[in-house]
Amino acid sequence: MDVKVSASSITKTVTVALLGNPNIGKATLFQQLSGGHHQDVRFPGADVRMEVGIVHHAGMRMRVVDLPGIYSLSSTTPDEIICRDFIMLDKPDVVINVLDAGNLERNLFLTTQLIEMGVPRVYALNMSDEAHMRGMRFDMEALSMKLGGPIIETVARFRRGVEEMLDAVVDTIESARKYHNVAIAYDDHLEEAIEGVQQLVKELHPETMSAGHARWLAIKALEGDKVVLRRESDHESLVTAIEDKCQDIVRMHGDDAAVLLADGRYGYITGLMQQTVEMTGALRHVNITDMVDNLLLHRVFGLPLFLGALWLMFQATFTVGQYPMAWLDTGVVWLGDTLTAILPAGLTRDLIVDGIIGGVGGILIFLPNIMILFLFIAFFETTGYMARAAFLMDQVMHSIGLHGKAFIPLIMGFGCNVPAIMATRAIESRRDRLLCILIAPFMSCSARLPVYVLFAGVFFADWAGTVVFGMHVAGVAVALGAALMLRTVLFRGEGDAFVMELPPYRLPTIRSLIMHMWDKAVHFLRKIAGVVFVGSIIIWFLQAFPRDVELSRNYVAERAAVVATVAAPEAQQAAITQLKNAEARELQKERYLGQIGIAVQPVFDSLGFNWQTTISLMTGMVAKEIVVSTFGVLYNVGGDVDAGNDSLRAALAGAMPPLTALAFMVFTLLYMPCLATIAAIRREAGTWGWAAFSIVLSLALAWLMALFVIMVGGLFA
Amino acid sequence: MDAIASLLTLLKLQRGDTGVIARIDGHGPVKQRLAEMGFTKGATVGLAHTAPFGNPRTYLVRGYRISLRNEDADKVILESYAGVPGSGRDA
Repeated sequence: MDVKVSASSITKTVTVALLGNPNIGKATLFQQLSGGHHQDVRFPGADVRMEVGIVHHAGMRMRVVDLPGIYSLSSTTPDEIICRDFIMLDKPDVVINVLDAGNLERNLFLTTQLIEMGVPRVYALNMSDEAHMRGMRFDMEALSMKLGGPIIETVARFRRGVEEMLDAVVDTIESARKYHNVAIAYDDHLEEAIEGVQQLVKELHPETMSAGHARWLAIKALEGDKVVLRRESDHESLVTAIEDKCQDIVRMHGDDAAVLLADGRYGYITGLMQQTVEMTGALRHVNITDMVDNLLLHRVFGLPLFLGALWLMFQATFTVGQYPMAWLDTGVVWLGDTLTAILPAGLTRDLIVDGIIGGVGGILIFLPNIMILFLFIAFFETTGYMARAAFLMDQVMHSIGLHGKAFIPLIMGFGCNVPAIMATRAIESRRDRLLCILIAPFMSCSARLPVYVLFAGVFFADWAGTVVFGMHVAGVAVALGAALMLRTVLFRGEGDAFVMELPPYRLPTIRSLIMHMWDKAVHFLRKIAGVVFVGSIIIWFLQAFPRDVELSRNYVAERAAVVATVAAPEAQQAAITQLKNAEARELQKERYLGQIGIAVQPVFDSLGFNWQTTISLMTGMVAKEIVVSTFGVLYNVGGDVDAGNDSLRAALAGAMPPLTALAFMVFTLLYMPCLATIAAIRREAGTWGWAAFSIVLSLALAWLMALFVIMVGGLFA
Repeated sequence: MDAIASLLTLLKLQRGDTGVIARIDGHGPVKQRLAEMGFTKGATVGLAHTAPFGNPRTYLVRGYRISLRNEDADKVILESYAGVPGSGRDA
């Protein structure tokens, strides 16, 4: 972006953090700053990977870090702890506090806590256009004075004010001008307690600690964040003293210190708002959000509308995605045919055509479906509908012991389980969070989508879209059932409260939706170029070797006999094709892959899976995209056998009855999370034990549910 | 419900009503979270929407919408409220 580096200036690298509430356009601002190019960087202090974008501005190289959206820095949720640790330990040069101009009152709560941390800060008064429409006028100079840092009006989605904001960041760093300290005054008794604790903290750290930092530590301690104190010192006496102070306060006021501090902060904010924000009320403001909510949150129509929206999402994924998929399919087939014609027959050609094009091409064609799915999820998320869905579903979720907020990660799981598991960080209680992490993998992710699109297209062509939708519903049902089970067996007791903001409806820009889709497409293509590519080659080798195998029949001689004895050309052709198919089947069984598949297959006997299916499930453990790739490699081998039928679809149609296909789809839906998800579970749950538990749980459920399908289906057959 | 029937809580609000917060009952993380989100003494709250099964509900506080479950909303005690004219509850 904006490269303004002059030859004379020496580029200085600085770190800038974006901090703010959720749903205030912080992600859009980050997108504008990073231009869509970001990398994941691990920061030592906060000990998590965060998205970092690089901005060059006025001779400065800025590493912009997108912190998670939070309402408070009190450290009660994992996200809050990440932000606190990043600001405290990784010490960014400037924190840009992004504020929603139209919802300043609540946004400033976080700001009061940031001010007390005493870090250099710049304010972005974002979505100022919306606020102006509502007749709000801001006294920017007074705001800047009161908040102790430059404040710039921005509209991130149109990049308005972004350059000025970056100027302010450069200015804050270069001038080294001390941001003036702002003290938020609390009620007398609270001030007394803060000063008391502050004094104790200072005594334990003579000379090394500034008054501001000691005050912050004292406030944090009274707020209940003991971690900060423990990190500073191990002094038991201090902790005891703080607990005494807290009890004092409760006795005096009948309220926790944390609640009184919040009262004080809002008192300060109310005063500040009166002095700096003017409501002119000039424009008649029609509240669109209320009007839309009257429909979408309707007590009767709300839930059906939500289910309809989900159905539409999967229907569109299948039907709209069908056309570009067909074009890609044609391209892949053409490439395979062309290479077959050009390259000399032999192992190299087989590797390229059957292994790489069969495996990689077999999954590549699903790119349009996956992009459409992510488009819908991004749309639900950015418009504010996702929070409404959580609101509508909370009672259902609550009745099976899940937190309403768990619904958002679960819906995100339709895209990919990894970000879904990371999104559970918004859930406060560890138990509720663990439960959500464990059931998230049952949500059918986009990697499983190709399996349904392929199998539903082959076996249930007439209702393919509905079958795809049904598989996702089945995933939700199993997730909820598993939650109920885990809740009664493992995680007993009351859950957390449900306190969730419903942001105003906002239309995302086309640009941001396209960038989001592009991001997901790149991610998918990288995965194909990496793990799927390597996996396809390995699978091809395993099914191509050993070369010399003893066959039960002499196929060459039998074919010669057919040519000699059968006169009619059609009958001769049919007999030869039959022989070639039999030979190919026997060859496949004798190769390494066949041997492995046949050895493991008995496990799936009761489910009716053949050894090819068994193999694709085994390889799919790495990444579920490989399930379809494996079929591609395995059935492509029959390509020149079944003359004229080199499409995977046709080959599959005869491979199993529809009921087995359905059981296979169910098994693929539920059986073990992919490697990336297992790693995410381990990271977010904290131990390998939970990751192992998740694997065992999902394998067992997959097997049982697939058997259930076979048994129930058998009754109707 | 009868034991606390005399207390005016958020739960008593009907659509369009607004009330002023007197205090929040109880202790612990829920109370702290509510305070942080703007449910503090003196703040004005209104009811915006009720979910299909009557729980949770969405309230308007400090100019934004937030949803709470009824069991938590019942801990927010109001000192006064103004009903919608004609609803029969504006006494």
